[in-house]
Amino acid sequence: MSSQHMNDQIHQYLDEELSGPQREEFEAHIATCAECQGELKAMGGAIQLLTKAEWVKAPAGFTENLMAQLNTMHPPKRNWRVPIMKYTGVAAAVLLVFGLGVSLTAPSKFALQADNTQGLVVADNKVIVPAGTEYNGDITIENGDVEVRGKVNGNVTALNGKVYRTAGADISGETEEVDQAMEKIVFYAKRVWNGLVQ
Amino acid sequence: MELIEIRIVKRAQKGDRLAFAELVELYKDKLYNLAYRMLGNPQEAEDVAQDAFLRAYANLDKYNATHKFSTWIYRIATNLCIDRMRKKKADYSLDAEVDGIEGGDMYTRLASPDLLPEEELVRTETQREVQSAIDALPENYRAAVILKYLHDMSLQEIADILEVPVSTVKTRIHRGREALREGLKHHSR
Repeated sequence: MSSQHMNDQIHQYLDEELSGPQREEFEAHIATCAECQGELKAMGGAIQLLTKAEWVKAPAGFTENLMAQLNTMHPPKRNWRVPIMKYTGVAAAVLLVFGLGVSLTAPSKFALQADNTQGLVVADNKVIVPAGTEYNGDITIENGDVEVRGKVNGNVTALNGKVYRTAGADISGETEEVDQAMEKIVFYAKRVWNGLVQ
Repeated sequence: MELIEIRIVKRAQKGDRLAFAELVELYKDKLYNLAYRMLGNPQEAEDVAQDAFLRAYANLDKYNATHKFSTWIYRIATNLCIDRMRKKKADYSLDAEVDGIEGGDMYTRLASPDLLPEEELVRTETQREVQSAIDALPENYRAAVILKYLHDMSLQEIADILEVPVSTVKTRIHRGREALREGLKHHSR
């Protein structure tokens, strides 16, 4: 075995990094090689000497001296950047959620979107398609209900509201009730999308 | 890190001087010992240890609890020791005589008064041998060897303090051991 190779092994042995078989092999070699034995002893001796080093302690009055020096110093700067950084994210999130909520619930006004309002009866938060009448076109109502008593040749949609039908009501298109704020976004997005596609 | 220590650090960061004094009490012996072994001189060790705490105090706002507080404060002290060693090396040729006197002072300070003179002599002899072996270590290896063998630190902790990879710490300890062995060879002759 080359001496450099053994040198590495001596270090690994001292660091207890040799595996079981490696250690046995190393120990077998050490037992027969005077040179390596001498190296290991010398290195081990050096470590042993270090462990004899006395644990010297700080002299008496160390803390008092230090604190006296501190009293002549300015108090340490408070770092305001850290808390601000820490809470900006939270504030932004709160604002976002809150803002989003506001913007979604803000148009809580009753609103009617229809191709024409002719023949429709608009009551308190309610749009009525009277019995015996026929309405041509789509009806969308926001924050209110639709009561269909007659016939609608088109779609009826209630955002944050309900679509009621009485007996004899007839809606040729689709009926949709959208309650959730998120669904409302999807609804509008879909509408925009459809508008774009068409 | 211990929970109690985290709390003390937080209080100190809020400007509580008593909390900082508690931290000084916790670490004064460790930092003093480190500086003493690195520099081999009690007066310089005290200066450097005090300086380390002053710097820690001034920079407390920069400490964040993602690292151990001990790693942080040891790093400050180690860097100050290394700076001091380099400065000493540069000044050495100018005032070698003064250094000699300081060295003498070190041994007289080491002696503990409550030992019998004979024991004291033996002990001082061993301690002189230990310190001269450490003093003979190249500065690159000195911190790693002291932290491992005198401060019982893991390779990872040493790597964090010195801000080098664990593999570098290992190499420094190996080279340090070899240098110590060489030093002892000459010593025994």
